[in-house]
Amino acid sequence: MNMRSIILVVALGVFGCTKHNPDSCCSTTQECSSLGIDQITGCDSGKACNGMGTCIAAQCATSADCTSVGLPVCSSQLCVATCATDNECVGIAVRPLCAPDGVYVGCIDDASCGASAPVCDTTGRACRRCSEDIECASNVCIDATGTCATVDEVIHVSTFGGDGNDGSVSAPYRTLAFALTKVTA
Amino acid sequence: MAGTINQDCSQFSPCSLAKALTLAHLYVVIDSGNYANAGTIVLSNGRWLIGRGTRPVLTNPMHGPIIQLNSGANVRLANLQISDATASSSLEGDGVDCQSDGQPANRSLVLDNMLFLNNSGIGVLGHTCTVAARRSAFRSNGSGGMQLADLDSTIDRCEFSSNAGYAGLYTDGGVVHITNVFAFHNAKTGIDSESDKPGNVIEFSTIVDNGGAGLVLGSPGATASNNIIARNTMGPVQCANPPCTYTGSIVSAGNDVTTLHFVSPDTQPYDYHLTAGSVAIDAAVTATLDHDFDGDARPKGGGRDVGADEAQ
Repeated sequence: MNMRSIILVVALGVFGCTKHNPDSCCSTTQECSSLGIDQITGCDSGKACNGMGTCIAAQCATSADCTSVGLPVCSSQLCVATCATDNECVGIAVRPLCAPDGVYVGCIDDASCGASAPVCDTTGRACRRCSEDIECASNVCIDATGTCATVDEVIHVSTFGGDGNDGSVSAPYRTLAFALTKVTA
Repeated sequence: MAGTINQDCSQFSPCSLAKALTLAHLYVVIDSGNYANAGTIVLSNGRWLIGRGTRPVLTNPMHGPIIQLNSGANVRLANLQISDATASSSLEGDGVDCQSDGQPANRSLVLDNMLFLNNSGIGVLGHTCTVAARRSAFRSNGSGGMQLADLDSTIDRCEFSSNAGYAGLYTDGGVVHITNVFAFHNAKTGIDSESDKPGNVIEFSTIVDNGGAGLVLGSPGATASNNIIARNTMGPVQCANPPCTYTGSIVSAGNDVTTLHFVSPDTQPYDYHLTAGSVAIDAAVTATLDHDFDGDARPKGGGRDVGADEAQ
């Protein structure tokens, strides 16, 4: 190889790769470093970074597009197994929340459920109707509808209460007879 | 005086209906403890009394029932113990009276996770009253655990034990649906279903060691399937209106219950749940009942078990 050729090879090595390869990508600094890419680099429109440094065809816009068993969550336009944020659960019917373990769920706790299905079932991780009084913050499950009475609908009685109190959970009445005079239905 | 939404809904400052409804207190939640009410608690209209935590104990240091339902009352009692009612010459010592002679049959009573204990009368007297009871126990009451008449009722997952009087559970007049009941060690009959209306159902119940007959059937065509009826002093069944059918039931006139493999049939605390090897396991005939006394799913294994318990 003559000197001219050597200079050409060196020049290509130094200056020839400054343009981004459209099929390579990385999403985090750490990922970029491991892949030998200088900076976070996205993919062209219609493609998504597959986590191994390669741009591939985008698989989804929302999780509704992810129909493969085991890969139900749309994250960065790819269908993956677990979620990281609630936004990734958009499109998954009745399971709009991302639990800390990366599973998309209907609810995290009772606070995530609405009045018509007030109980977060710990097994199914979805909101359901109440069936037991103790499932309700008010301690009253209206079994005909599976809904909880509101706290304001309940009068409380306790052996530590007083009939001069207001009958709330923090200031209960003392006697059942007095409490019943306050039932307004 | 017309009220407004800005007034406080008191007698002298009435408010609008819209505001009153937002303030309506419909339910009474009772914390654990003993509540001795001097006199009978009389309930009208819709009333829910619900215990929180360990069952609160309601008693009446005076004579008479502890709770009485007025005409038209629609009451739910949950997680409470109703104990130690006493009688006088003019007042019954029932735990709950849901009845009144000569008044319309328009009461309803729902019982859930209740204990009726040691009342001198009947635990629950339900005449002119529709009763739905589940997960409740009626023990050591002086004149029977529960007596129902006139209206239809359902009893599921209940225990009737050690009651004096004519029967642990007595029904008459209405159509009753009895499932998953343990009736044992009552002084006389375990379950007496006297209604002459067709359609009574008594199934998946365990009726053992009662001082009278185990089961008395008065209605024509009563269905008494998949029950265990054994070791009752006056025999297993009295059929007042033959033919009575006991499809799938284990009906024994003898005193040997060893093949049933109960947990503790001979020593207190008595326990008639099944253990491995029982002839009752998987022996029920076709049925649709999907749970047992404890709420466990039926069937488990090859088929449903006969009696109130599905062996685990």
